[in-house]
Amino acid sequence: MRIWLHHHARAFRQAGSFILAQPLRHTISILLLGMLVALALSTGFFWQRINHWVQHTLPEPTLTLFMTDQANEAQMHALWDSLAANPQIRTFEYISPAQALASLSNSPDLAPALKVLDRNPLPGAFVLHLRDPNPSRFDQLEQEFSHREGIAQIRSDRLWAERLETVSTLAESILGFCALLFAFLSFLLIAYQAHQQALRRQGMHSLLNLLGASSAYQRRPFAYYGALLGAGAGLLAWAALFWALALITPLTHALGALFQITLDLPPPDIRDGGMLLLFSALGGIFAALLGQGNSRAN
Amino acid sequence: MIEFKEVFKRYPAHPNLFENFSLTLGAGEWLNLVGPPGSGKSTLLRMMAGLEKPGSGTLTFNGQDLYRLRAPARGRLRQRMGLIFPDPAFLEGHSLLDNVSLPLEIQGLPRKEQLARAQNALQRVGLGNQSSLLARQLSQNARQRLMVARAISGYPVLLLIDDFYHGWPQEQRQLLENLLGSFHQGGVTVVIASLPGGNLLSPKARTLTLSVPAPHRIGDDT
Repeated sequence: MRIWLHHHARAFRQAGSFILAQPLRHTISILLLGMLVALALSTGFFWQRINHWVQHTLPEPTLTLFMTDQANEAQMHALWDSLAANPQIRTFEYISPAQALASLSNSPDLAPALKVLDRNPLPGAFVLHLRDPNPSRFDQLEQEFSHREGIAQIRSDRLWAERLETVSTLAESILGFCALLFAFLSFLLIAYQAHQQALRRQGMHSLLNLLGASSAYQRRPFAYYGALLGAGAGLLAWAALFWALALITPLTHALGALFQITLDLPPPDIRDGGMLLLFSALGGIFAALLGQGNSRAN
Repeated sequence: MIEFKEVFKRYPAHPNLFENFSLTLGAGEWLNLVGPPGSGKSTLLRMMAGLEKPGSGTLTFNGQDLYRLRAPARGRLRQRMGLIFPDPAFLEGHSLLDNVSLPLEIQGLPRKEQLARAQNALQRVGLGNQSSLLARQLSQNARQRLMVARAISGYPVLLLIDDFYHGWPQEQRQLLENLLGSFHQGGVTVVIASLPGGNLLSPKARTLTLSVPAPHRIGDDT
């Protein structure tokens, strides 16, 4: 065990010496890697936040079931139970004809017209909020309720749901592509650096080979080298994200105040930071081993 | 210990370097390989070390076909050999002690034992009081002695030595001769490649004379 630890400690020192031997090159590389990881990270983070704002600020697409005038209590209760048991429906509310009339009466344009009516012409309605606002779910539920007794008409926000989904998919694809591209560029940069280090140390490689060193022994310093570059880039990206949040948050608050909505940008938590470091270091290890690949023992 | 059986080895410049070559070398034997440059002495040593695969034929080390083994197993066998080749490669920025203890570290010996053995090996080649110097600070002759120290530090069962001690002062040649003699008496197999006309370290030992193969005629391969 002590030998194993000693081998690892030596490999770690060697990896450090790779970096210290070319300080300028590695400073630039880590800065560049940090920027790439920060771009990948921030596209993911901001997408998540924008998605959250969109869901909480834009009107949610709903499905409205308008009841017939003749709908009786039993039909209403049966429908209520069926809606409550449906797993596709997140929440629903019943708006009685009186509530609908009261709501319309608040509109200054409609109030005079409503006053001259001798009876309330508005039907009662169930407004459904779907668990998954996918356009196909709207079709499915519309189909399911269209033949139910007591329902006169169904109004579906299917088109609105479809527009929202299309915009969301498009944005997700573009941002996902950018995040993948930045992550892949970081991977390539580490692989290239490791390859250069392997080329610089061909003499060392031949010596270790001559002495019968295993390929694991020869690869280990490169694995640590990749981990150090990856973790360095991850830390830098984390710092860059916090810096960007500090700059942007007052602006989003100001924007939110203009629209009377809350536009918060809560910073990612320590667990996210740990995951970022772990994945950056692991990515760095794989990239470095890939780059070093040609200097294995014969 | 080592057996070459019907080995063929060719290079573009030497298409018939070894043809149907067979050799058996017992444990504890001393073999002088004598031949001019280009006769294949170094190639033979490198083949024995598992560093250069023969074109065809078999090469066994302690009964194991060296080139049928996978690279890690061949590497482990090489850990039991002491290789002294003319091109000394070292960890230039490290101390002599670090350089000599490197093969011991690769073998996985405890650090304390590594240092003790490395110091002892340096002592035996006359570099004991310079163990903290860096390898790059050494003269050519001292570098060669450092290589000897590195080769013997792991208590090898086979020492493969490519001619490098010509031009050494008589006193140091004697030191090397005594050192290799003591290892040989301890049962270590020694193979030394030398140029013809040079003073052999052990003239009475078995000697294999190699000659430069005749130039290859155009059309021989067809």
